[in-house]
Amino acid sequence: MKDVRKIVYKIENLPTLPTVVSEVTRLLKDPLTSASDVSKVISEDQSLSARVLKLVNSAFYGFPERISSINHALVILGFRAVEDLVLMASVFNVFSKDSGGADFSRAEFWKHAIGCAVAAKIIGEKVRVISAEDLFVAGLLHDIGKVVLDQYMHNDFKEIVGVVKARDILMAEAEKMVLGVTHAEVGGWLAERWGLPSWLVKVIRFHHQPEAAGDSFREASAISLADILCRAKNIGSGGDNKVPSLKSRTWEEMKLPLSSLEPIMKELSQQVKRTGVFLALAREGK
Amino acid sequence: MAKKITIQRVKPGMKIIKPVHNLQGVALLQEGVVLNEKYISILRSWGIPEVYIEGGEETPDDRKAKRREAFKITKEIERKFAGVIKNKIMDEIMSIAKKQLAEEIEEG
Repeated sequence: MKDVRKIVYKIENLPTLPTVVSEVTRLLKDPLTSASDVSKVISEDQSLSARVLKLVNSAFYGFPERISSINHALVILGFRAVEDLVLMASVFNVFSKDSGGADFSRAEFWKHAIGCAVAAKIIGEKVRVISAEDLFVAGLLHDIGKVVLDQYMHNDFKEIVGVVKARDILMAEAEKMVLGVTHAEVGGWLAERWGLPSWLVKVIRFHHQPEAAGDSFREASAISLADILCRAKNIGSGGDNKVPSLKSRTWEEMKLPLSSLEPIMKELSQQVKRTGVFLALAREGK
Repeated sequence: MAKKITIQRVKPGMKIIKPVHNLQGVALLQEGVVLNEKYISILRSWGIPEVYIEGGEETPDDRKAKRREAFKITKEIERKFAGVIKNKIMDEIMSIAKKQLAEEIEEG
């Protein structure tokens, strides 16, 4: 059994996030930071600012007036939301390139990721978790390990996709057979290297086994459910075509009534229709 | 007769039957406009989810095609769920998904 570090050592030229992401996080930890401090840092990266403003002004948020500057966005959405948007816009930029593999569509991948983000946010509004907005980011990033494998270990990944197709199994099962590690572990490792918050690292690492996520059990459960709901409703594809199981314990951790599933799934399809700008950014990176 | 369709299904040549507005209430397309690639990309970039287009009554063939699609989707969901652990949550998710996907096909 190969271990995740041995696998990722093979990845040269690690994908990195622009320094502005960690700079923003650092600023937001300081209670004396003002909106203009944050806006100055983000605005220095013109392309990033443009991407953030595109997202903010998309139909998904549906603000009645155009938000024309980062400063304006900070005032209307708050620091945390803008921090999340900076992270998402940066990740899109790093991973927008299609690797050209015929059996793994980056467009379908992002559709699934954005669907999970939306589902996670809807669940997050009904469950006591960190915050619904943070869950949106977690939903978007939960499968990021797949893109790392596709982009940096393309031949192994092609083999994995082949096994998924031939046996009609979950991607994680095929990854274990071919590599000995899963996209969840690779994604968790990347999130750690990027210095993302520890709850987010845990959610990414344990989205297929939420009970192992310790004090982030509930957040990981929400992502696990979000993933299942998107698969059930055919929203994008993470490269496989099966539905993983949700254990009773995972469900109970969220303390949701069974009757909440129907409205959540309805709302999911409604909101996904408004995520066109997210998808366009994810595909083009700019 | 007007027919509501999702943005994913609009095609050049379709005729808009109700004006389309963005969230600010600005009219993007007027009634009677025939869609072309440029108009469709405008609708997409504004994130417009659905439009009303001109269309006749549903024909028996349309109905048949819808039924066939609904049947296919139901089978596909059952295949996807084959092998998951049996509990009331997974059962519930599967049956809601079937019902809602069938409704979405019905709505076009």
